[in-house]
This record gives sequence, structure tokens and C-alpha cells, in this order.
Amino acid sequence: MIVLDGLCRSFGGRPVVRNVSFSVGPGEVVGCLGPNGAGKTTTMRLLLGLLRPSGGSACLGGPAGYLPEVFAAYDGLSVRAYLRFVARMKRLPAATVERALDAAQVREIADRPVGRLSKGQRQRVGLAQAVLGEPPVLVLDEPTIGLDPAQVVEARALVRASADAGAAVLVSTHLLAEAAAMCDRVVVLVGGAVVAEERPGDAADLEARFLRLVATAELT
Amino acid sequence: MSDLVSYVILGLSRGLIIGLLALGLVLIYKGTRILNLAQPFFGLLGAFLCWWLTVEARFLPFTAGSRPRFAVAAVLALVLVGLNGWSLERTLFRKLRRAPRLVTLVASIAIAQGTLGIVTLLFNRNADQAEQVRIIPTVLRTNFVIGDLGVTGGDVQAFLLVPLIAAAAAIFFRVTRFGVAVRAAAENGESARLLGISVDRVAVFTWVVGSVLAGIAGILLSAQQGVLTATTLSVGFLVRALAAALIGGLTSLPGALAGGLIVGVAEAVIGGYFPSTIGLPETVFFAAVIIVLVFRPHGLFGTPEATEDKVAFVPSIRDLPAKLRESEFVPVLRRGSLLTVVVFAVAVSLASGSATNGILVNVVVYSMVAVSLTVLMGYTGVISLGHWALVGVGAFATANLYTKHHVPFALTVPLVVLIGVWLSVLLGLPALRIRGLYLAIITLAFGYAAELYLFKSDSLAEGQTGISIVPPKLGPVNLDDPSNRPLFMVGIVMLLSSIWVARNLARSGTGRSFFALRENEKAAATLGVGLTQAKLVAFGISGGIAALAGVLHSLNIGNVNSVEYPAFTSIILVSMVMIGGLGSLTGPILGAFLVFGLPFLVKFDNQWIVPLGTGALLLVVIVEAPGGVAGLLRAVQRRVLGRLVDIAEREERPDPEVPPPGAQPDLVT
Repeated sequence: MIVLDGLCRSFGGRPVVRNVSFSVGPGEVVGCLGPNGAGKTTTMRLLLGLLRPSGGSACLGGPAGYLPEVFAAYDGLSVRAYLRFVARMKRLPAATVERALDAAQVREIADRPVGRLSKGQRQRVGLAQAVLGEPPVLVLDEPTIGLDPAQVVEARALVRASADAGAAVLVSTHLLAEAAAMCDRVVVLVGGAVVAEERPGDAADLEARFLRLVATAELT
Repeated sequence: MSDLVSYVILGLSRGLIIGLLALGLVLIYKGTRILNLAQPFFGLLGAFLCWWLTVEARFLPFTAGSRPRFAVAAVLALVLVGLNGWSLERTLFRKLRRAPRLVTLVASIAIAQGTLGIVTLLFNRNADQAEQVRIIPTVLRTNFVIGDLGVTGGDVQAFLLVPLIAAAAAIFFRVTRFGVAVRAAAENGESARLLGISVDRVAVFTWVVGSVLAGIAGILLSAQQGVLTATTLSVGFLVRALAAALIGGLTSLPGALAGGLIVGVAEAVIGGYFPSTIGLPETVFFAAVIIVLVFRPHGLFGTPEATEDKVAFVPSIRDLPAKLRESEFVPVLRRGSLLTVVVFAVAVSLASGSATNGILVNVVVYSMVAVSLTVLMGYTGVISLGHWALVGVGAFATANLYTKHHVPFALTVPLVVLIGVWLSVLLGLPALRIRGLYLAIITLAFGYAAELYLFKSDSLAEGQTGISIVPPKLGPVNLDDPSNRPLFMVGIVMLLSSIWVARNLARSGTGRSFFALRENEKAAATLGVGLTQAKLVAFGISGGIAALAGVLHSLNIGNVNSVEYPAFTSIILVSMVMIGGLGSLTGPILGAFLVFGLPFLVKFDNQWIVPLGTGALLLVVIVEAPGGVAGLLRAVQRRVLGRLVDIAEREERPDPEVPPPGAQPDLVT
């Protein structure tokens, strides 16, 4: 599970994340929504320990798999070699690689160098390294970006399956339809603060609520 | 047994040590993206420490000079060198993790100068120490002869130890988890961080191991050469190690070793077959490095570097506030201070004797080089580590044309400038394909090849003796005047005209295109800046000014000789410009005065104080005041202008609290 408690961070005196608290339980998929610059990526980096918070704390219930916003791999390695390397660094058994290849559906491109892949294929490799070893915590920054519609459905299924296997999943996205289809709960960030935490409902409804939330939050 | 075989064996044993040095260089480069120009000096430090602990130290067990004593000493020396690398990473290079490459390169120059200063201070302070014969004992004392080649224990040590180290490194980097992590962090720090690899730990590791490798290379080399002097490991080995690293690919560890072997064997074979041509191997390295970089930029074994970091760096000196910038005092102050400096310099020259004037002429020479470097490095961001060689070319061209071929002096000067422009453009041609640090290495190799080949060739330099030059009489001005005063005055005129050229260049469209490509080549190209043309123009103007400085220098030294133009000076020139404040014209001139004038004027020019002081000053500038002297000057200018504008405003508008004089009679009535 993931617990954020009063997390704060400012860059050069400018607060970017303000007192963010929420939690993601095991088996739950929580969406992190918000306009550009709302602090979604910063929140994720804070809770993974890639940035030091100015205040508050974050707690992860185990090792985390992370798909960064810009996923940079070692372009010279093949997909399989890259995943083996990740497994080595995370001290996971080599057998997890084969499971991840299937889970993220990258088996057919397993022997191609990462540098030669298309954007969508690359993104799936990123997903594969995140779900490697079935970690109890998954943090995915825009996981479906660059995927074609069929792949989006598959990625969604992968996220759902991970949660059903007991993982706590935090997903950030701009696509409200995406959030409506995938998440059990959404947390809306505006200007670095949580302005709403609720069930996504259906996509059209979510969109209306989201726009209203952002408009009111920006007014105040 | 043919000659070739013996040359190859000789070359291999030397090449293994060059390879070891290159291995450390590449390791640090991979781990931190810092090209450590101090690498051979770490080796020098290691060798000297090892020698001192073996022969001089009283507190160690075993008899001094014995083999067990050497073993203890070698381990201790390597620990000390490793500690040195560790502390440098922790205190300095960690702060510069995100700095542009030029800054880290200059920081490594500072460390190189500082290390050389420390070695000189500890072991080479005075004549007694300089004449001391230092011998590091070899562990193996086997001596045998293959054909007519004597193979010593020193050679055998290299043959045994270096492959062992290489094998250990190969196993470490291929098999162990941390070894793989180091490679991963080297290739992509951010990705590695996501996997929980500590970039800090990797950086510390590479600095420690890289330093220790340099130390081993230093000890092995001095055992192989028999004696150890302060010049055992210097720019020569830096150029060889860099050539090896580039030929092998700057990012390939096995490539570094292979490159070392190629360089070692090539040098031995070329030197063996052409023993009479001095400097031929160095010239071949220079050519080989250019050819490799033009046709295979990632070397024979390396992979292309994915990330192109920012190399260029110009400190942002805070501009004056808008209110002050518009003030009419700005040009007044500028012209006033220029006039004051010139008048002061002339007064000092008139008041002092020929020795001081000689030093002052030198300061003018270095100031002109500073202007020349500002055009190239400050305006276009191209790093040159070979500018002193361009000055040398100017000096040798003057000597040849004026002394040997009796060309009138008035014609010699423009011809020399043209030669400087032409050669510099030629040197700039590789810059069209090769960028950043790689180009810096080419210019360093050029400086070294020029020192050893061009400036020692029979046709250009009369071999080693050099060419004497008698300064001419220009109408009423006798440049041969023993007081050196007329020479200084003419130098001032030359300096002012080069400043005038550089200043107007910066304000012209061409100058603006320089700034554009310095900040971002691709963006500049989309704005229609012709990169080729702009770079070559920068090289040309810079080379012309450097050659003009060479004219003045040749007249000052009287005998133009290769000894005057060592490659290392080019590296100090970069420190000088940095201390002065890169990108500014006035700052670097004061930098020239600080580095090349002040220590000599106050007779505090020990061999160690200049490199140590320059290195320390450079570090202070890098870490604390990137604007250098120019930044400090700007602060002064700001305060003075602020005060002047305040006073002017107070005088212009009458004080509102005092009633105007015309109103007073009314009050009385």
C-alpha cells in the first residue's frame, strides 16, 4: 500500500506540492488527475524517494515498480537483456523476466534493441520493467501515452490484473476516460494541493466535475 | 631477430602503461562525464609518494630501498592516491555534477596544476632536490636480452601486472552487481537512479579506482624508466593517454587498453625507424586522433554517446540595472578607467627598469592571448587547449621571415597575422565535425605536436638551437632598446587594437551569430546562422590575434626556441582566462596580470607557487565566483555608477523641503 501524509515540496521557495495526503490500499487503483503543472509527477517522485520532501512523509508497503514520464532505457540492449539487467539491479530472480515479457506483451519484440522500438513498444517495455517481479506497489506516470487503442485496452487490463493480485497502484493521467475506466478512486491535484478525492463515475460525468473543480480551485 | 619485433616488444611494454593511464581516464569519464586532465599528475604523485616511502621514510619497517619495503610503500602510496581521488570527488566534483563540461574540464586543469604544484613543493623545491637521482626498485630483477633489445624487470612487471588488472576489471564490470551498476550509471545516470543505483557511490568509486590506476601506472612507469623526475609523467603522457582513449573510444574500457597498446607500439616503431626526426610520433598521434574522430567519432571500440551535454559555459555576469545602464556615466567611466589603466601602465614602465619592463611585455603578450581565447572560447564556446602553440607559430614565423629571409618588419607583421589566421582556420576544420571535449583534445595534441615537431624541425626552427631575432627600429622607436620600454609601448598599441577588433566583433552580426551557436548550435542553425562560416571566422580572428601576440613575444625573448612554447602553457592559458572571467575582455587581461605578471613582479615565482596558486585561485573562481575578476569588476562598476547617478540626480532637482529662493521675500512681509 501507499500512504502519503502531508507531503510538501517547494523548488526555490515556490511550493509545488502542498500538504498532499491520501492513500492507496492493496488491490486498489487510484488515479492522480490534474491540469499540467499540478504537481502530479513531483508527487510521484517524492513518494519514490527520488526527491526529498520539504515536509511530510510517504510510506510504501514494499518495493515499488515505477514507470517514469519519460522512460529512458539503455538503447543498445535488447528488451530481454534490459529486463534481465533491471532484475539484477532489483535483486530479483531471472525467471521474473519471462513473466514480465508476457504480462506487458513484449515477448515478440524481446530480442530487438530497445533503441529501435516504436514509441508504443518502448512504453510497453517501460511497463514491463515496472511490473517486473510483481511488486506490491506500482507507480505509473502516464502509462498509456503513445499506445494505440488496442494496446491501451491491454495496458489497462495489465494494471487491473496487478491490482487484483494485491498491488497498490497509483496512476497519473490526463485522459479522463482512461481514469474512469481504470481507477477505483481518483485524486484531483490543482496547484499542488488535493482538491477532491472521489469515485470516478462515468467518463462524461468525470469530465464535467473535473473542469468545475479546476475552475473553482484556480479561482480561489 | 628483426628490428621490428624488438620495437614492438618495447612499444607493448610502454603501451600497457599508457593503456593503464587511459583506463583510469575512461573510467572516470564513464562514471562522471569528467575528462580528468589531472590523470597523469595523479600518477606522478603516486610515483613520488612510493619513492619517498621506499627510500626516505624512516617510520616504515624493512630496510630503505629493499623489495619488501617497496611493497609496503607501493600499497601505502596507492592508498594515499586513492584517498586523494576520494576527497576530490567529495569536496569538488560532486558540486560540479550538473556543471557544463567546460567547467569540469577547467576544474580538472586546476587539480592538475595543484597536483603538479604539490609534487614540486614536496620533492622538487630547490636545486638539491631537482638534482637528486630517484630510483624506484623493481620487484622483478630479471634482465634478459631479446635480439639486441634489453628487457628489464620494469618491462616484465608491466607485462605481468597490467593484463592482470585488465582481467580483474573485466570480471568486475561483467560479473559483479556493482560493476554492472557502475556501467549502467555511466551510460544513463537518471535511469540508474530509478533502479536504486546511487550515482554518488558510482562517482566516488570511479574517482578512487581511476586515481589508483593512475598511481599504479606512475609507479610502473618510473620502475620501467629507471629514474623518476618531475617530468616523468606530464603533458606527454596526458596526450598519449588521451590519444589512446580516443582511438579506443572514450567510453570503452577494453578500448582504452587496446588504444594504449596501439599508441605505444606505433610510437616505438615510428621512433625506431625514423630516429632522426624528432617529434614524428607525436605528430602522427595528432593526425591519427583527427582521422579517428572525423571518420569514427566513437573510436574503434566505443559506442556513440547518447547524451549531448552542454559544453560551452560563460558565467552570467549580472547586467547593470536598467536605470544605471542608460546613464551617461557608463561610457565616461569605461573610457576613464581604460585611460587610467593605460596611463598607470605607462607610468610604471617609465619608472622601472628593463627587467620589470620585460615582465610587463610578457603580460601584454598573455593579455593578447586572453583576447584571442575570449573570441574563441568566450564568444563561440569552442575550447582550445593549444593556443600557446599558435603564439609559437607567430613567433617562429616572425623569426623566419624577419631574421632569416630579411622581410621588412612592416611587412612581416601582417604576413605573420595572415599565417596565424590561415593555420588557425586549418585547425578549426576538424571543429566542423568534432565538438566539445573531443575538439579540446585535438587542440591539446596540436600543441604537443607543435612543441615537439614543428618547433624543433630543422627547416622552421634551426633544430633545437632556435633563431635569434634582433628587434627592429621603427622610425624613431627603437624596439631593441635595452630598457624594453618602447617594446612595451608598441605592445600596448597591439593589445588595444586587438581589444578593439574583438569588441567590435562582439557587437557585429558575426559576433551575435557566435553567441547564438555557443548557446545552442541547433537553434542557431534554424535561425540561419552558418555554423561552418561562423566557427571558421572565430578560429581565424582568434588565430590572427594569437600570432600577433607571437610577434611581440619573439621580440621580447630574443631567441625563438621550442623551450619557450611547451604544450602545458596552453592549459594554463585556459586557467588564466577562467580566473579573469570567461566572455569578458577586461577580466582575462587582469587574469593574465595575476597569473603571469604579479608573481614575477613581486619575485614570488617559485616553481611551485605559480601552479599551486593558479590552481587554488581557479578552484575558488569555479566554486565561489564563476564571474572571475570580471564579475568583481562589474560589482565595483555598479556601486560607483550608482553613487554617481545619485549625486547627479540630487544636483538636478532642487530639494523640495527648502523653499525656492524667490518665495522667501513674501514670507517676510
